[in-house]
Amino acid sequence: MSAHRAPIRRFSKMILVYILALLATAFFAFPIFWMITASLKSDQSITTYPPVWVFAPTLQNYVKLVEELGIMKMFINSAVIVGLSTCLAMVCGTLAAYALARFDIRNKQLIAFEVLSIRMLPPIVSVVPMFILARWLGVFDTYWLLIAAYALSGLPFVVWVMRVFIQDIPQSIEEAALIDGCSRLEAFWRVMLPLLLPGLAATMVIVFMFAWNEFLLASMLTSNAAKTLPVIAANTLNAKSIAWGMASAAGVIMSLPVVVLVLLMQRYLVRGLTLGAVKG
Amino acid sequence: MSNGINHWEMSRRTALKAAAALFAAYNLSSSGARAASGKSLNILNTNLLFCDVLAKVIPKVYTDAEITAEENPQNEHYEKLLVEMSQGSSTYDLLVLDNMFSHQFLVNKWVKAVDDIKADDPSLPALKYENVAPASLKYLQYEGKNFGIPMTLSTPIFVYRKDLFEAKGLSVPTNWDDYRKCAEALHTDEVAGNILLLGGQDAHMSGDWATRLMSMTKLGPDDDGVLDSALRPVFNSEGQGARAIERIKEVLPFAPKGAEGLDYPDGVSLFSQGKAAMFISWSDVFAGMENGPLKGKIGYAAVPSEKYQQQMTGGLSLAVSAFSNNPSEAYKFLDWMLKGEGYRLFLENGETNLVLKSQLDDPAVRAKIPSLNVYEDFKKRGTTTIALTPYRAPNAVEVQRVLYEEILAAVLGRKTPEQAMKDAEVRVQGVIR
Repeated sequence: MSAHRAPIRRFSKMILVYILALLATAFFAFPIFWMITASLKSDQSITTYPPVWVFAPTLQNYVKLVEELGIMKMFINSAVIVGLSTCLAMVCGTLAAYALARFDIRNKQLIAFEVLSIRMLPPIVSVVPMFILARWLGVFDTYWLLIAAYALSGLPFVVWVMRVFIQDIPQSIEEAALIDGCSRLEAFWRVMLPLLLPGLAATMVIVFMFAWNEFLLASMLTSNAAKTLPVIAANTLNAKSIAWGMASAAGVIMSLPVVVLVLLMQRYLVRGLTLGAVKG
Repeated sequence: MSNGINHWEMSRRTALKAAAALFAAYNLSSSGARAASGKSLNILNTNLLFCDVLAKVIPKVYTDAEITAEENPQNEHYEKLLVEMSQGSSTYDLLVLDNMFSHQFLVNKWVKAVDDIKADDPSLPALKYENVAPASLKYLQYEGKNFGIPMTLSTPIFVYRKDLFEAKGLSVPTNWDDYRKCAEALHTDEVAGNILLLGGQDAHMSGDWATRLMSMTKLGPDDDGVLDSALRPVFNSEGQGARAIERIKEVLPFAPKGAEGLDYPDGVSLFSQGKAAMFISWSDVFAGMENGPLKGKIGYAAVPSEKYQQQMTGGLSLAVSAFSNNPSEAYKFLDWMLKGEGYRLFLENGETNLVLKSQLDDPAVRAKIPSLNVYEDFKKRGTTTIALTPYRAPNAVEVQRVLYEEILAAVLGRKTPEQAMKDAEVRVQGVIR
């Protein structure tokens, strides 16, 4: 009897697992679904209560974002600023992490802690000094200012995370490359970097997301030329009313690059996020 | 098996191509701005309805200078104003100021008197202040000088669902006792009797509390009922502050669920969805509501009163930055606005908080904007206008925050109204600078 029951039990267990998985997916995906559908609703149908589930989709909110808020310019600003700052943080941070992980530097721990201390400052504290510096250097409202700010704020994270990833790779692999005639840089480029790809991908996505969604510095350190997407998205939230459709459309546009990046890096991300979780 | 996006790797060449495309796109998009030449005016702007017109419509019409008026969300706008002006930044020529905190900029000399700009350049025309409502000017006057022009004039108004009032046979309440009765009569599980915005500093302090406070003691046109001219707290001099809190508490049971978290946008959203029968707040809150699902069902009247028919006025203004490199051009823009063309564009694009006398007196405009009929109510009830609270304080936002915290503590029952007002007096005196 029990032999007959086993497949049924397995099957019902599987069904239960699937139902739970579906419920969890629905729970997490519902806000995204709501944002996307709201972005396609007209002003009239968006405030209707009870909510309308079947409606004629319209792109008017996206058109308004482009025509009225000039979101394309901000999108390009965001892409250039965040793209360059992420690259800068990744390059400098990974090299610094490599040095801290592999070389015998005096006061290594202190240096690592010092790097991390930048992240301990709440952003609001650094806004005014940065504003004064920017005006003094003549870089207020330029790409360079935000690129520097985002690269610097991402750097400690990259250094600390990548240091752990590098430490997890056995030094003997690198030593073998050095014995085979590689220079230190070649060994890093040819041997370490391919092994670090999952970690780099995971770190890059997180640094990119932080910079992409950053609002305070983007709002305070720019005027017209270097405004980024979050500032424009926030403009859809008027102090006395909310343009729900435009806010949702801005949310969709803001989410797209992150989603694309995560999809592109997915293969590495899964490995990167779990690497080092289990010590072998 | 290497099909699908998950397995697509970004090669170095692809990355370089993408970077090059981004730079090319940037160069294309910024070429127009770079080509612009001649005089320019940069406005530090917020994101209310008229600000939209200032940013998008007026630059196309105004030809004497290139106008840039990028919008900022209101909270960030205030922070940005503080950072820019306290550091003597010349990035902006003109500043959009909420009348609630405009004195902070006047007292700190962060804005330049238009009289001084004219004295420096006598060829400039005299500004036509006679074209705008006098009540809108007090917030930009200091030490006998004018510091800018008003952009909008707003006042608290009583907004109600005409259909629900008719169904219950109720008439518009003119005092707070009647208001409470209406709230109770109209309150159901689906539709709240009235909206209270306990979650917003300005919304609760000025919209809920000060609207009740202002009719309790006799005030002059420049008084705000919170601070006297020497910046001493007067909001509870006769127990009126505590009484105003009691007036809020008596209608709290008829407010929507979760009123503790509601701010302006939530209140507007609830009311426009038909979830409340009455709403008292600033007139600029209701801009555009007539275009929503409640079109034709909304009535507007003066706010109920206690003892004296007095109404606050507020709004936003435009002032010349003291650090502008281009004060004469900024002055010319103010002159152009006061001649009426800019205000006409505000009206055409949906602004309802008008400031130009000719518009306010125009029956056709009044017919188009039902909320303006509240000024007819003013005439009928003999209402006098008073100032916006607490505009005299150089740190009005901080004073408002203290008041808000104490009022909220009393409304939610954490303190008695009397204790909250006593604490508020002490704390306000402590923060006044």
